[in-house]
Amino acid sequence: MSSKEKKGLISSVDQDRIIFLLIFISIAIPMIFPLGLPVPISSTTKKFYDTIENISEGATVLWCTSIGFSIWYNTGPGEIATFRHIFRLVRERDVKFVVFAESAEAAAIVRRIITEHCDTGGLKYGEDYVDLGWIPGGEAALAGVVTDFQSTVETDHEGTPISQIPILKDIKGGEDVDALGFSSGSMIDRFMRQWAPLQKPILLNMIAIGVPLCMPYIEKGMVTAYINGQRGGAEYEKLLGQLGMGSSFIDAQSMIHLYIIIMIIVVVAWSISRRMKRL
Amino acid sequence: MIEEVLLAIFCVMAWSILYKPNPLFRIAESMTVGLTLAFVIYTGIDVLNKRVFTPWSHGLWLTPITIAGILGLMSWTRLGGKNIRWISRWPIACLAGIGSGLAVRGCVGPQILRQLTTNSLIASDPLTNINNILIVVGVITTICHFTFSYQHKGVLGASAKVGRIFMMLAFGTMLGGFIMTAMGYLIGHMFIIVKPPAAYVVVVAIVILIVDIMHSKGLF
Repeated sequence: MSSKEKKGLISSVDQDRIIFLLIFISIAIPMIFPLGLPVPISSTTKKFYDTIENISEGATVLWCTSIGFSIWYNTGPGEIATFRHIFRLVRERDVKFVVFAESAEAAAIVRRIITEHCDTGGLKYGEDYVDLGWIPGGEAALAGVVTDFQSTVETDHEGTPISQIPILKDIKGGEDVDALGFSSGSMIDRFMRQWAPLQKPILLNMIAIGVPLCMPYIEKGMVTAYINGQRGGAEYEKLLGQLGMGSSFIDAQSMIHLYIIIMIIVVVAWSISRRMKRL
Repeated sequence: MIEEVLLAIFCVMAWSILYKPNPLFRIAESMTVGLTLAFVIYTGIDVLNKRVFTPWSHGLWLTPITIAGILGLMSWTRLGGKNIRWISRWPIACLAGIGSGLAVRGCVGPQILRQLTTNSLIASDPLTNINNILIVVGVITTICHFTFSYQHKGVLGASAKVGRIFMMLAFGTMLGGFIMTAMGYLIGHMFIIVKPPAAYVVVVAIVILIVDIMHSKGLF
């Protein structure tokens, strides 16, 4: 028997287990018994919504999805809500929606969102919207789509040559696009380097942890508006009037915030009391 | 239904590391790596098929994709003998050159010139004013912290200490953001797991866990 067990203290391994167990419980409770906590709309999400809402009739929106499965639950709600909003404009204002992916995973996510979460009924693929799939090349591809679109993109995600896709015939580069947007789970420098000089509205759906790193671009107005992770996604769903995944998570997120704040206070208080005892 | 049950099984297997290292966690770990690799290879071949072979089948031979395809094939010579290995350096040189060129071309405006300009430090919103002051003080004091040409005494020493506090706040905020992002993953999975039929998997896992704890305590 160790000295700690003799004294009746909980070992560090068991302490970790208790902390993890409490995390699970604090998330599971609001999932089973929803608390219905209010979701105040932040000014940043409202700006994102307004920017999309103000897209003019017949405009072309170019969107790059650059998220993977690992961050799906964080950026997915915002991504779904954005796509739903743009598809609504495609239907109501004849907006053209061109979407591509920056990675293999992102291409699968785009297809999943369009087929499972968006209402494309009555819209014509290739005339109203197009999914270009994964355009490999990283930053070179991002530069290519806004400098020489026709040479950079050969086919859509199904292998159809772009010469046979009506929506893409008039797109030569960034000057033919009215708004750009992207979702990301990493640094956004490459997007800014290639897209910011176009002086077009740029929208961003960002993982929560990455938002502070984007601030230099947001503060300078290069990113017009952004969604801040899961929370921003929930706010956007509320603005859109189509509650989804993000809204379901918000109670649990509030609970886990509360739990972590309590844990910080408890641990700091315990640490201070131990120091005072030593003195 | 099967998708949800499988998700629950793999989640529980992965989370079992929080209790203690075990074979189920190692299986989940290996399957994650294997499935991810398989998916990337599958998608890679799919993209090659659609972006390279399909245009070729339509007679589009002289395109940038063809040049990229040739460069890609050249990179495979790295696996060949010493006589042809040098060929693989060309695609790498092209990648490095194009990458650097693109980055330099784009970075001057958004990353250098635009960042050097500033709006008025006095705004109508008082909170923005406080924020602006904090930014200026934070930048100057943090630079002071990394000024090693002079000894950290007097004004420089005090500034360096304030700079250290700013950095601690910044790193703490980033860590907090990272933890909350990680919690976001957990919340997403829990959303599926707490509902039947996936919830039954969790019940079985809890029973196994209790049995193992009791066994390890020598209760039976």
